[in-house]
Amino acid sequence: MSRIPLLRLPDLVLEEVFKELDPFKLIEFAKCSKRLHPMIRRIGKKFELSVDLYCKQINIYTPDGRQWPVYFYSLESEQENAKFVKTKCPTRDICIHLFEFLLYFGCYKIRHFETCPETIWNTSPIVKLLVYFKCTVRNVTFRMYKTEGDVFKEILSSLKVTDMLSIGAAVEFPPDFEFKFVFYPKFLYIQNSHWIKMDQVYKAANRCLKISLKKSQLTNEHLDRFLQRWQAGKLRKMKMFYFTVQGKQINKKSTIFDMEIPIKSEDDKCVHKRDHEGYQETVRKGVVFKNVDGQRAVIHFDPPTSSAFSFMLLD
Amino acid sequence: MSSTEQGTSSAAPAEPTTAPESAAAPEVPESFYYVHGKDKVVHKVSAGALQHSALIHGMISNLGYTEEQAKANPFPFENIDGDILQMVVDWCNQHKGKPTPPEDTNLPKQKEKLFDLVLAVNYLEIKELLTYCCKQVAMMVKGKSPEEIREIWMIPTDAEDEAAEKEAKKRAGKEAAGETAAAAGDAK
Repeated sequence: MSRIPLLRLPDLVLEEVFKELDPFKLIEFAKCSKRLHPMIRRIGKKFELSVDLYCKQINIYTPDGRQWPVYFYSLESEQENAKFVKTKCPTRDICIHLFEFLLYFGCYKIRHFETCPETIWNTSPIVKLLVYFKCTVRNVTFRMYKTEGDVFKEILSSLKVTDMLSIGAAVEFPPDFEFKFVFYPKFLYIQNSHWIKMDQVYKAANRCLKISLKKSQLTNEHLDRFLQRWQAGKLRKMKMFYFTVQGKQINKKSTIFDMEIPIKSEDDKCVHKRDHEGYQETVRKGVVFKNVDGQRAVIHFDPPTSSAFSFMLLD
Repeated sequence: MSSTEQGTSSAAPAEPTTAPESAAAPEVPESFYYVHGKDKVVHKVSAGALQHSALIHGMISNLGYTEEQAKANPFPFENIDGDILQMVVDWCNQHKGKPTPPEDTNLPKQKEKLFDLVLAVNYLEIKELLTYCCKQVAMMVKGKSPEEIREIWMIPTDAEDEAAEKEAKKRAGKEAAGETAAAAGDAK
């Protein structure tokens, strides 16, 4: 067998050799010798990961645009450029593998984190790892059925989400649940949003591009006050904000913005589109308003055809 | 001193009276340089082939040798074995003036020489060849178990590393103690 004293190669050459290896091989090397750790981190820190507890999968993304999935299944299988971990306890093994990737690669960018529709206890250890390794998560989707208020608060306050936080319809919160966001992502989608109060909406308006709330406790009066403040030019920090909200107390029983409900255009072809930072948003059959600063916004509310109230800044 | 010489192109360009637009540019006679390794065997290589090496290319640009001066003063690479330098020269000649393909089938097949070749190529700064060599080194462990990898790439275990470190510390301690004792003896 031909042998090569690899560790006697100059660092830059060694790095070139290691760049030729796939992420799975790099992990094997990391376990071979501690002396290889700095070199593996030098290459691995450019990797990105995604964790999907629903599909029981971790993906590694390398700078050359390739994707290296690790599947955690109860059956054995084979696929090129993929790794299969035969397991009866996927969450535990996902945790172990994620720990190894974060430790040995030193990467900190998570593209996507999706939870499984099981208990929050499956999600918590993953979040702890991501927080411990100071990861930033681009997109998060929570979809577990059983939540514990305090555990969920801990998760929301510690996880640094940059682009999108989506909390699915399955996630039921206790009636007395209260939480104030520490990190505001660009997009915030919450299906059971009874705990989001107007002060949070004002904060989000200054930081988010879009928030979408369903099953909200907000009322026509709240929306009216929001629009009056905008009209008077008191929400100057708000840029490119799109707010859509739906709830029992947002209805046609009272006026909003001194207008009878519905607020809609009679022109069926009326469409307002906005393209910002590559994200496209559309409001159909909306009515355009201007505030004292000349800033334009489109508003649409047409219950029961469309039960969600929409407000989108156009400038 | 022996030498391996490549063919030269010495066609003297005839000066055209009226150059048609489609006529090829007059050929400039190619210049040659000379290199030798540890074994002192001199290799004659064209400037075109040597362009692959950033190190030699830089040396040529700075020295401005005539052909005679170049012949009288071959570039010495005493840290490179003769057979390794021969491989490098062969590769440079094969790829003279050609775009380098993504996969190179002209690489030396002897894995035993690969380590020395990588070091030489790195020293001579031949980027494309270094990339190919690194790929070859990486290929050596494809489909191998961690234990086989450790064996092939001669990677010591952490326990072996620790033992070697302890041994080195012990030796350094002993040497320091010996020096102190010698210094004390001198003082008396």
